[in-house]
Amino acid sequence: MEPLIKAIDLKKDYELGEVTVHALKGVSFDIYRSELVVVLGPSGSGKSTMLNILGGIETASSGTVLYDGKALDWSDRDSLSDYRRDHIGFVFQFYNLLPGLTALENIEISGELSKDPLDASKLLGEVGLADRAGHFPNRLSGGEQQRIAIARALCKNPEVLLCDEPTGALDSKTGVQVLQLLFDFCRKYSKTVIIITHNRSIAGIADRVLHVRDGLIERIETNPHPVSPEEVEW
Amino acid sequence: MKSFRKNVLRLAWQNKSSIIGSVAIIAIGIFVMVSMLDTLRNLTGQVFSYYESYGLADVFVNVRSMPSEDLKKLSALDGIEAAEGRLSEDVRMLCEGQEEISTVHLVSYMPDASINRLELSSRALAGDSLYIGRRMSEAYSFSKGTPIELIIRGKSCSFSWEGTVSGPEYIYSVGGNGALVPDGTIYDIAAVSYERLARLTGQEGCVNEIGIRIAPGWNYEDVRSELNNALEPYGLLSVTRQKDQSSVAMVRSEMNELLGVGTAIPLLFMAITVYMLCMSLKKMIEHDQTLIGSMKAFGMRNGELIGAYMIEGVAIGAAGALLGSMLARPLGIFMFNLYLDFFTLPVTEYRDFMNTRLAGAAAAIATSVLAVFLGCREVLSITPAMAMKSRSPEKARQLRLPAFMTRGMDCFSKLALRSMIRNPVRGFLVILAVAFPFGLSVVLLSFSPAIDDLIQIQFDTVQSYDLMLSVDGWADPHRLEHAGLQLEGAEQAEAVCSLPVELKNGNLREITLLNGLRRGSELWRIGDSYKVVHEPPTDGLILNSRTARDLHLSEGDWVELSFPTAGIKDVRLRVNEIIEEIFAGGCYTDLESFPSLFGTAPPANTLLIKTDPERANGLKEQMRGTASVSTIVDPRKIAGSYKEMFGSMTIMIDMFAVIGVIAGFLLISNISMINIRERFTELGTLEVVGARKSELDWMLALEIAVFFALGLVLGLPTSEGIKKLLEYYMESESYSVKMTIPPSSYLISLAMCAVMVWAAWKRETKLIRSIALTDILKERE
Repeated sequence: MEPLIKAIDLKKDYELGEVTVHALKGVSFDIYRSELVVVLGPSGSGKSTMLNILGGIETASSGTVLYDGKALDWSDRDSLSDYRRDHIGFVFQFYNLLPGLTALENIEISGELSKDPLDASKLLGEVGLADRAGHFPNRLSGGEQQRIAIARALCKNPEVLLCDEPTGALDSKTGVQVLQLLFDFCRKYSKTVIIITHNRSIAGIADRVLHVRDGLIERIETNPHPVSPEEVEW
Repeated sequence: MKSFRKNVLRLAWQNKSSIIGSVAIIAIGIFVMVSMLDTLRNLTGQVFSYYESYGLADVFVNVRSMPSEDLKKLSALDGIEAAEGRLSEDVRMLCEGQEEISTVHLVSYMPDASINRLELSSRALAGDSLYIGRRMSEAYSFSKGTPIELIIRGKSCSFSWEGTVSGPEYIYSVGGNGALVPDGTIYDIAAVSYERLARLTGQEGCVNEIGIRIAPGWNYEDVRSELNNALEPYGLLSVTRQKDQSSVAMVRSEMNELLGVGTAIPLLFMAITVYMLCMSLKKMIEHDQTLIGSMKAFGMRNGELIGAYMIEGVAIGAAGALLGSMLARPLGIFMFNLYLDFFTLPVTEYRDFMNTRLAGAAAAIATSVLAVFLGCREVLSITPAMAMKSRSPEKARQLRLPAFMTRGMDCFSKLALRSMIRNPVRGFLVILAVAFPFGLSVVLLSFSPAIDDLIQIQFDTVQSYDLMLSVDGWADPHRLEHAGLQLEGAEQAEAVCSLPVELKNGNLREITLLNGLRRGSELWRIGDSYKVVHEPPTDGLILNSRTARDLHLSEGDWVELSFPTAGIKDVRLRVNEIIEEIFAGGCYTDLESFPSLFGTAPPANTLLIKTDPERANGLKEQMRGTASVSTIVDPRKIAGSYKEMFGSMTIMIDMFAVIGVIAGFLLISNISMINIRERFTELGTLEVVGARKSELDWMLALEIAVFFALGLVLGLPTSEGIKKLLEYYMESESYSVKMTIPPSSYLISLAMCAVMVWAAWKRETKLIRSIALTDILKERE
């Protein structure tokens, strides 16, 4: 099977004064359609950098990312914007909802950027917040905001959902609800979901787990029997 | 504490564009304030010291003739401390190389005078010695011994130039020939010995110009009645209070103008600074909430924390004050020299006043400290527990845009609209920041064309004659016109009766000129500021609005007229119309109606001549040596002096237009920067979800374009308000300016403001390109 995303020898260096930090030291991996991948690693291992490069919001110092066989052009900001707009959905640790828009409008704006959006109201219902459509973000709890953020990411109907510590700011009960949404999205819509986390217990829901340490992929683990988020020991 | 202060200053520097903007805005305010007030203080200091040292009179009196010994009777009146007199006469001056018709106000020099004392450049008052004002002496390059002819009471008298003369009541010396600006080629003062002037005028032992000093604790109103009664027997011509004396009134009017502008403009800029600083400090405090909470948990007090932020306020105020004060000096010197073109002062040195700068610095620091306090007072409400959590977002403005507004709009347009309405105060300020410079520049750019227009109306429509001759004594109008037509080159001649008149309404009195004009006149029409021509009434008066205001008169009221010089009995006439005139003005009636209104034939004393412009100089040449003509007014010369005076003002006015636009740019730019910084996460998130930079640029452009359009709309009434304000400030004893704004001013202002807004937008787009998406994602909302 052809990979949807192919990362080839990605390296990322940060110049911090006179010191060069090698965040990624040459990682290569494939991501396939409809799979749920967990990228697991401790803080500072390079996993967020990896996700940002895959999402086209950060450029690699060297290496290539092929999406559907086509290399991302790091030098063309507009083509990166189009790539994110057409193919990638993001879920952030701190939600990043637009404060001037209601819950529903936050979802709609994402759909408005897409060529083939999903129905925003329906998605709001699916994340269990139909009754909060007119609420502004500052009137929603952290878990609710994250569910809106997921609905926003889904509304574009992206091929890939990139989630950076989506449960990092949530309690375990809310965290499970959020994971369930991501899990369902992957299964129901046959979309690719990549979750970045340092929480080992989340690895159980993944089809594959990429273990990252010190800027390198330590190992790639295939999970033959992913469990439902509800069964995860938090 | 020291470390916390260091942290505050470092964070402030990260927000340096707001800081620099605030410093610049304060500096502009202080620049205007210090330059204007320093100019004012230089002028007032020198003017008042001049008044004091040379004993400016409290009351100025003109009589036909009074024996010098009788001055003691005046001094003996209750409330009069001293009365001194001299002889004076307006006479024609002739000299070599003269092209203009020149008049001097010739006064006798009284060596022991303590009131209205004259200053001579030397003390060599020989029989034919003549001292002439500096302006005229320079205009004709007089040097010691230059022969000068004066025509005194029809006789030509020879003098020799000895030096210059000045007096405290001649600081602004324009004479009575209609000129607005002192012009040495046509008018100045002159001094000779008392004995010589008395002999030439046949007034030995007499005086006709009296200066009166009122005793301490008394005022003019207390002595007016008794003084008038005492002066009546001597042929009282005029009594003028110090504040109404033409030079004193003009100097005071100019100083009030300076004071008004020098305080109003800085106040405006200070208010802008308060807003800008306050906004950026608020953001800083929000950002520092956890740090402030932690500091409080460590035991720091509110006062210590706020004090650390106050250092920033003091630094901004001090920097603005320093910069503004430094820039103020050249403008102050420029303005002072501008005034010296019109004012004759014995000392002309420009001084810098340290206390003006200190006052400016105090105002600047107080402003910025107030702004900082308003911006960081939330420090008081932050508790140590808040160090443990992030700030909860403020309640967002619930906004549902009507469907008709959003139909067909893309998401960026909708977001732009929402952003504009989300913070209406900020939006309104941006609108104001467009409206104010737009309105200001529209009006200020119209100033010069408006003045040209007014001068053209005045001298093409109102006073369309080529020469105005004032004759000694009175003549029959028809005979005078007939004589005028005999002059070589005269095409039309028209007699006018110009009489000094005292208008009385109850206790209010005003001396002005009554002009008896011919109905249907083509040489002197009564025109108002709105270009409407009025016919002189046959049954009453047309009154100038300034005089009417001073006398509290309205149309239809009756006013009493006394003629101190014409031997006409007092009459009461109805005020038929009150009109706003462009230049000077008095009151008007029909020349032919004199018998029915005043019971006498019209005593004409002025002749208007229309000639071929090319022959005007020849006509002037014919008149120059004529003894019976006391003054000759060339309207082209007067128009030139108006242009010269307004031309000097135009430089300053244009400078204010540019300052307005710069201030507008700084304000828009800073508010925009605050706006963008507040929306970093929002804009970054939009970019992460796929928005292109160009789409974000478009969103910001739409926002600023809407504000720009609204600013222009608001700028129209703003320009109307500024126009009225400028007209109000420009109104003086001698002129009032009514402006019409040409379309070109709107277009130029529009272009200037468009550039200003475009530059602000470019700064915004540059700033959003610096958003690091990866950092945004780490930020907690």
